[in-house]
Amino acid sequence: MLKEKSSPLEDEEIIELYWQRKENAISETDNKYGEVVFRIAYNILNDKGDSEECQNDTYLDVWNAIPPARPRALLAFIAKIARRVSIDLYRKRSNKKAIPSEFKIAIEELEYCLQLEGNVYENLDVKSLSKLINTYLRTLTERQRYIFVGRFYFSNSIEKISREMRVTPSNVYKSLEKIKKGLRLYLIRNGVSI
Amino acid sequence: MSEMIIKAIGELDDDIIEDYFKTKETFLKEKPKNRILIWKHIIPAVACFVLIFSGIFGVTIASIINNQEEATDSDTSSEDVSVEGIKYKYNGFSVSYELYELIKNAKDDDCFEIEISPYASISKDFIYEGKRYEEYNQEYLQSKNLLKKQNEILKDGELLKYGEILYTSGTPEGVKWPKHRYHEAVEYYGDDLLNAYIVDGEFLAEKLRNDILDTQEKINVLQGKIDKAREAYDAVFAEQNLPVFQAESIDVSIKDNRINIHLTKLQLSSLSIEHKELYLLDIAS
Repeated sequence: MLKEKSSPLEDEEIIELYWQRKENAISETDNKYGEVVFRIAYNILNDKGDSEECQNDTYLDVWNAIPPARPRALLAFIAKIARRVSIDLYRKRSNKKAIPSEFKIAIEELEYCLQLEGNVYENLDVKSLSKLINTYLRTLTERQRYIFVGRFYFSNSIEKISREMRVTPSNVYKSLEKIKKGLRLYLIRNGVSI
Repeated sequence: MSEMIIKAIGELDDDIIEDYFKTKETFLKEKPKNRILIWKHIIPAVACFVLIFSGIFGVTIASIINNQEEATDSDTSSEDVSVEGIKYKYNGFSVSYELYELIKNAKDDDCFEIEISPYASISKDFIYEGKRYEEYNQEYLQSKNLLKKQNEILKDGELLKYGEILYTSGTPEGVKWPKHRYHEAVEYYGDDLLNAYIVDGEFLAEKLRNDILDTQEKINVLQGKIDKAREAYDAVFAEQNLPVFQAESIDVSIKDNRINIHLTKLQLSSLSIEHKELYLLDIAS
């Protein structure tokens, strides 16, 4: 009596629908992951209408990507697309006015902590920086990595992360500080000018 | 620089993102420890109280009997509680994970104390102390942005005070920037900031340090205002929505700016208020 929506399909079944070019692949995706996609977009855009627009664009991109793709983890695959689509719209919107979103705050936090020098443009490219961050994340514990990805990839608030992990916001805040300092040191040790 | 960080973070390896969701699942499946244990002791006592209370007020008994009759088809198994993606639902309400776990394992006559908060985040147009919430937010972000630039210019100011010499002949100390870097920096900081701290070729570092402290203080004040505005929003939400729950013949009050309700699982399962999507239910703290 209490379920409001039909039970979600298994990921493999949804992927199969995309492969068969069945249009209900999108509604099934929305049924299962709509909330997650909306939340990713909202954290970045801080606007309900824009986030819904991103939800639709994300489904369209997923539709275009599968096939040929056959993702091993559908949620991670969709989440990456949702983030990219939302950031594209964020760039467009923020050209006109600043968007006070959790995404902006999180990126500024990270940027402020790293304080990369101007000449970083000359001796470091995105791929190298990304590679270093990926390698650094693998040195962290599972919980630390969860906090980092939650905060800086999905732009979740510290309060939300703390609720999910059932610890206090102050615990998450302290862990974040430690992780950021660690990243800064890691980059310095690997020759990045900071 | 932001752009570089945004792109670099966007390039995190797929397996790291996959692991994130796996870890999230693990957190969602973990049972909260202390709270549940405490509730295991409290629930029977509260249940007794409610039964006695119900005995005194016949109206509530009638509604409980009706609910029990309706509930015969709906059993008390975990199927009553649905998980949609990562959002937990019960009788159309969004519920916290902790409450979800509690309901899942509860019997019909087990009692809960539940706090109700707005499901949506605070309205941008909410007025607190004469200003819209959005204005506080904007001012906060602008101040954070200013603080960031003030800290950066603390390093660059000693060079930028030389003006175009910095890329033509270079400073007396032998520092020379590429022309594009100089112009990017001038554009980035803007005339207001540069004119405030570089006067007649002198970099006013001491003034800047004082201003950084002021900006930091302003950020702290704004953060306080934002927190207070959220509390005020919760209080207004609670006041406005209290009658909705009072109409349901359940024990309801306002505690710490939240609507608090005491009811059995059976009563919760039959709450039939409108616009359930407005509310988030959690175990009362």
